[in-house]
Amino acid sequence: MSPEAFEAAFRLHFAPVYRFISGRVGTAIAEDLAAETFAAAYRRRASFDPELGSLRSWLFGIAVNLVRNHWRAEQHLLHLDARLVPEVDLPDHAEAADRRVAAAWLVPRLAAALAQLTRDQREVLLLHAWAGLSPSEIAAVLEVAPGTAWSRLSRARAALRNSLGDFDFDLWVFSGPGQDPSRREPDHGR
Amino acid sequence: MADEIELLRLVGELIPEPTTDAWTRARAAIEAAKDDDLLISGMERAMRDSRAPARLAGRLGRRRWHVAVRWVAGGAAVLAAGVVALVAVVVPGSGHGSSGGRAVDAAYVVKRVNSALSAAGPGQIAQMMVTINNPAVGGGTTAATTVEEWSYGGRWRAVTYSASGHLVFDEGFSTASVYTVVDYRTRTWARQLRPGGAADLTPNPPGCSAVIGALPLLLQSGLPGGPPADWQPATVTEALRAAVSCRALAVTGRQRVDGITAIELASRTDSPISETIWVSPGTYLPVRVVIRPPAGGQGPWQTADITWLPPTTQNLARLNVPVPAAFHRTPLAQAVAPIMQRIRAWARASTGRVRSRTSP
Repeated sequence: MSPEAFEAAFRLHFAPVYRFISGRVGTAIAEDLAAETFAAAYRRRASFDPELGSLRSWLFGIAVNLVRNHWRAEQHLLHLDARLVPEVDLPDHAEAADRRVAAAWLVPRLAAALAQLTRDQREVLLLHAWAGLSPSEIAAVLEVAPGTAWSRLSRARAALRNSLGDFDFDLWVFSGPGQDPSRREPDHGR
Repeated sequence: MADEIELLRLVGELIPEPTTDAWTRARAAIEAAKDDDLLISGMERAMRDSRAPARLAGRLGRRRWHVAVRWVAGGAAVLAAGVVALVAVVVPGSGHGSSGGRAVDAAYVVKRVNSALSAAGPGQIAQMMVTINNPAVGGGTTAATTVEEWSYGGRWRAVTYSASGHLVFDEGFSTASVYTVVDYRTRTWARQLRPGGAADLTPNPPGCSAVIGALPLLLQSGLPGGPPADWQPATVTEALRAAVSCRALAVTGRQRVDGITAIELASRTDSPISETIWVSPGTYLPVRVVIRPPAGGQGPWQTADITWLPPTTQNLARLNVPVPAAFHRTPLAQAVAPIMQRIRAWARASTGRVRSRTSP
């Protein structure tokens, strides 16, 4: 990989990698880990093989390995998030509540549910949901067969649904990617 | 109805973008990785060139540079010592020219110098004692003048002494845009806003095509009527950085300078001006710069000894140009005429692009 290509990769992928790490272990650790991800990528750039997966999945693979060393920090963060009390009040009968405000209501519930998953389950779920990787890209990240990635993702989703318990998915309707959700009534973690 | 993935994505949108600090830290980590690469390459070359035992060379694996550092440095445990030792081993002699090995190590040293200057630029005051031996000016007789100079951000001051040690000029920018010059021979002074205003003093290092030597640039910082504003450096550190980073220099050895064994970088043989910069092996900041006329040419021989000072109140005060109470104010053009004469003399004595760039 030429220096120019590496620079381009850094510009393109640093923010998503940082956000993926930050979401899992917090911003304080994320700065170090994201920096180390790209430093490691530079050192190992000769080992990148586009036939084995995309550059993006290669970078996330490095990030995932680094995050694994911070399993306790991730658990701690999830437990903290699970105890969060939203500081915002959604207006009654809001048809299109702000997407971020709506998400704030979900954080404690999802954090509690994620905390109950195994590391592998959480990894595959968040690579899919937060990093936006397809199952085949996840397979490249985790160095497993695509079919294995598919089945892991499927089981992880089921585990998350199970952890969410009585969460009423019917209350959350999305009209499409990037659009505000139409909210009938938020789940208050009952 | 949403599903669990959509909910996760929604929450994921709350994760903040990386801060400027995060970007900066990542870039620094990548640069450090690049430095390691250069170091490893240099170490391996040193091992090969020095016919390292095959068994030892074979162990240069994952932590190969640690092994190499210790071997090259004769057991020194610290990396810094290894770097110095590397320079000594790879470029054991002095003299110009560059083999492949030298190119790698010069690149490493230049990079470190560049980084050190970048860090020093906003944080430290560059204090220089410049001695100029100028056989070409004044009817062919050798005359040594000294200039004491300070540079800090957009501020700059130079005090010029005659060969007999008398104070001649005191000039500089007490702020980024106010230029003051005091002529002690005529007991006059002048002050005015720099033509073009403060914007001309924003960091804007000269392009590589214009860089011949650092010192002529350092001595012309911001003078009215000098080089075009878009070409001249804002600070000493910027000028040095430009000279160093344009790869006009090669590592040529080490030499004792003011009690330290400094790394010596010299201009290449094809350079139109002969320049040597010594940098501290500890800080990688330049401690001495020498400019000579090109081989066979005539012109000033200039030496600058550089000290890097912390920006304390006392040190910052050195950047102020005091105006003695009894001196009379004159128009700037009148006050700077002798200074411009000096610059033109240097320009005439230099060659090629230096002359074409500095002539008003």
